Amino acid sequence: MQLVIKKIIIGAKEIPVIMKKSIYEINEKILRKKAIVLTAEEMVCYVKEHGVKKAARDIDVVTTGTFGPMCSSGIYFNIPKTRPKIKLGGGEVTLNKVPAYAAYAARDVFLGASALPHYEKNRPKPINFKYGGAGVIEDLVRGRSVLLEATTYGTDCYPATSLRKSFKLADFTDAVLFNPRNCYQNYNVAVNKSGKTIYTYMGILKPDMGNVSYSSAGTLSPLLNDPELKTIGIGTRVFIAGCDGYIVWHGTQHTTAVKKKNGFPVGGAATVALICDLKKTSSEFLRAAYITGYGVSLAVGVGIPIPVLDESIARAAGKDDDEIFAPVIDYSADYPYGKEKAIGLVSYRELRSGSIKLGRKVIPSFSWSSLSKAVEISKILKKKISAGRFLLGDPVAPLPGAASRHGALSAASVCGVGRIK
Amino acid sequence: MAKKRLVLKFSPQIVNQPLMFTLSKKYDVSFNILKASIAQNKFGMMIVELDGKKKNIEAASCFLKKSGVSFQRLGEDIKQDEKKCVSCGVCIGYCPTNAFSFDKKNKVIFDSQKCIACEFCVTHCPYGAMTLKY
Repeated sequence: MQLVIKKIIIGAKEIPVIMKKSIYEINEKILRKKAIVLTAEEMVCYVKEHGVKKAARDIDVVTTGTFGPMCSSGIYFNIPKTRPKIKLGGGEVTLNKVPAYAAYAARDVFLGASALPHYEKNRPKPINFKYGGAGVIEDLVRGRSVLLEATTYGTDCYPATSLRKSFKLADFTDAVLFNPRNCYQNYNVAVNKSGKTIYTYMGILKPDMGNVSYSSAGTLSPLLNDPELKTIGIGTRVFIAGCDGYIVWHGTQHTTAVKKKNGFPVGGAATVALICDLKKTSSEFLRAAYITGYGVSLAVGVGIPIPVLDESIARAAGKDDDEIFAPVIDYSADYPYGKEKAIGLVSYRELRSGSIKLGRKVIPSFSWSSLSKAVEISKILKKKISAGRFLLGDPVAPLPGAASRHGALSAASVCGVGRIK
Repeated sequence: MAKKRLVLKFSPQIVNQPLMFTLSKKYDVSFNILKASIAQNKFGMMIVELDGKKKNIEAASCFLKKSGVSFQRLGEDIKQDEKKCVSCGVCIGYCPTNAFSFDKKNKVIFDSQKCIACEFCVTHCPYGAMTLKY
């Protein structure tokens, strides 16, 4: 393998940096349509066949994908001017009877995926949810009209005190999809040790460990392909809900202080906050999900490209499902009371097989994350990058706890030296 | 020997007749009621699995038809809306009779032959992809 030694200048010092490629170089190749792109699934085979060294040399980008419910989703939008004008900020707003948050300026509204109309909350438990914030978001994306009802107090400059009007997504001045948290790097496997059925966000869990549920795309999961967050940071361009979007911050509950096995965190770890133009999204990759007994969530399809800058990234992107492990957590007693203690560790290979073995018990497993959608997303992203229609975003700042990319990079960033040339 | 799962619909006029008894006695067909909702003066619905010789099952089906029971094979009315299904596989974990599975492309496929119309998937599919009409 031919290593390229580059030099960056920090102050009066010249620091040699050993690396194979930079994102800048890969982008140049993408523009020339010469970049070699593989999906994370294909990368597994490539690494097995040719080894990590050759993979690091040959492959420029690995594309990932995931599709599953993430309640930490929402939209904000700006309604067009009305006559007379109305100040929604400080008033009360509903969309198809689903309460939205209007505590910004006159025409800005935020709607969370898990918002519920009152009638839904009053139904007998376990509630079989039929509508909520995510349903409104999906309706808008599908081009349907949504009824906005607002009451407010009226001011001299915004005299109207109520508004009742139908809007389509195209009518809004701006509409933005925002995920305070998405793409959990790994996640719990849920089981129910109690004697009765429980209804959780991980699904309906049968008594006496009658089933287990999990929610990760495993080998395709974006952040598991860059476990040390060497290439993913603020400013990374991603595929989200059918269009291009960006990582704008670390996600809420982001942490890197998680036990690792084979270099991959065991359980929930890093997360990212994502943003994109709602008007460009597609219902193929954005769906309301109704979770019996729990609530309403929004399934969002996300794909993050991983530039293969060195061997460690090639190795991580080339790992298989049997190298990633998740903790089995009891959701009947331990999880609700914050005593998450792993009953056992299981690999995604085992989870995907349809059943896992815990002690002597064989338990059927099921997934919340759609593997076929994840594969589809990784292929779309591969196609876009190969065709030169998607350039990689070079992060402007790392996520908290991220490993430095080339030793000197973080120093360069801190010193404000800028991009390595 | 053959098995056949049928959705039977009884009009209010024949709800009170002992049709299943006749079916078993006269045609030597055993039946397993998987689901039933019958009330007086209303339409009745029953999902049964008939077990017996193929010849006898066919004769029994004719008898039901003549008696005014409309019926169709179970599964014909159970639909997986492929546009709504995202192939997550939650139904695989819920279905008591393993009627769902992944195909080679990881798409969820529904085998109506295994379905007993418990409606668990219809109620609990997060994406509302399963519908049941009878």
